[in-house]
Amino acid sequence: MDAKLKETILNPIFKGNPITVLVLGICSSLAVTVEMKGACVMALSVILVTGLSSLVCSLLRKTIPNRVRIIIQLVVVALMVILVDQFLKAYAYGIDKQLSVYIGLIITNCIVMGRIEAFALSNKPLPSLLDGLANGAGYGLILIVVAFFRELLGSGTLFGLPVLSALGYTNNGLVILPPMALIILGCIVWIQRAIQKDLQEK
Amino acid sequence: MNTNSNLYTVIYTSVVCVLVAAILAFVSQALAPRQEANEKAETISQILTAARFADKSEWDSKGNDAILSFYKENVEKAWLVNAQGEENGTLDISKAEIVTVAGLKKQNYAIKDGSELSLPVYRFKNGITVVPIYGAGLWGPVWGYIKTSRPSRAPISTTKARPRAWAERSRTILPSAPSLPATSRISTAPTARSLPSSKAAPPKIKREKMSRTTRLTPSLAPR
Repeated sequence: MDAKLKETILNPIFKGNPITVLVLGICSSLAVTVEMKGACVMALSVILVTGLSSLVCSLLRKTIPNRVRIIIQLVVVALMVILVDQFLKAYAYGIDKQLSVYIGLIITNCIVMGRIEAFALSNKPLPSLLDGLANGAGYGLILIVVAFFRELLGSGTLFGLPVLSALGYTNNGLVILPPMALIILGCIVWIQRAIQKDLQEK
Repeated sequence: MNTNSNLYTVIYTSVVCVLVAAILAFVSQALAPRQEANEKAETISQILTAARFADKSEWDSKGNDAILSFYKENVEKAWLVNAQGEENGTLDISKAEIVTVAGLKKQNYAIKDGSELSLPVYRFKNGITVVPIYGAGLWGPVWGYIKTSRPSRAPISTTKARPRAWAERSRTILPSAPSLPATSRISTAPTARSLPSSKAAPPKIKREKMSRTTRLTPSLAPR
């Protein structure tokens, strides 16, 4: 695989992770990480929206008037988000009810518009698609890690199946609260910067 | 072509908006039947939960068809009433016809308009009647389902025994407040039960002896 394409795919997962390095899309990571199931659906939704939006905007990049490029990007992102929401309502109604407004709030997620503006408008469709998918995957990875600890320690379950609760574990209510998501995120940033020392600010 | 000219910008944004609107309208219409079926099944599962057939989580694992067929087998009658409680319509049980939250919202507007209400009532074969409610909450509308039922055991007859002596000897703890009349008890907190197919035994009513000093304290019904 082309080295540049490889870097496009791998960079957003670790070294250029949108949450831990770029610090984008934090709010939804607090709200939808109470359970693994919700976090996985949200991660999949963001991957699809970011990838497809980047692809469409890259295809239109030479035709979009400069003065309305943000509006056109917003329209494209909104189209993708509403399509995802409609399909979730049709095929995963229970999950859609659980996630409620947070699917619609993907439109406001800075990662999506940020990657379109920074990458898709100045690159070809295939690298833009891969960049969008990879950034969505990097966001989703952090969501799943946070949700893993929050559901395991807060409810004693994983995907609704009893794990710690079957061993007599008493649920930790603090972990269910949103501030715990930030604390876990901080720990992930700490671990990442301890491993990748070039990310440490001097 | 100059992509930064005013005419191009206006035409481009118009075309994009019309295209996006057309795509969304097509997808919405194509998926509408499936979405409505999901919403109907979800509403029925909430009604069945209020009617104490099973927990909500158990219905979530069932498919739409299973929920609808269970409803059709266990509902005795479904009808519409006006504000005075007089029957003014029926709901077709064979088609599992129900009134969803959107329908309840319309009735809310009918109250403001002063037009006649058509509020749904569902009676099940286990003797439970479920009444949906809808109204204004703090940040938005609040809705739910209230069940009413006859008690499973009538109070002990006191025609010969003195009431005080009976209360001193024993007290029957019923799953709702004993201060309510015996003909109907309202409960909005369904207890967990397994599905009827597992043939679970009905809950036993506890009797406990009470002293003279405690018989006047409010009952704390076990749940």
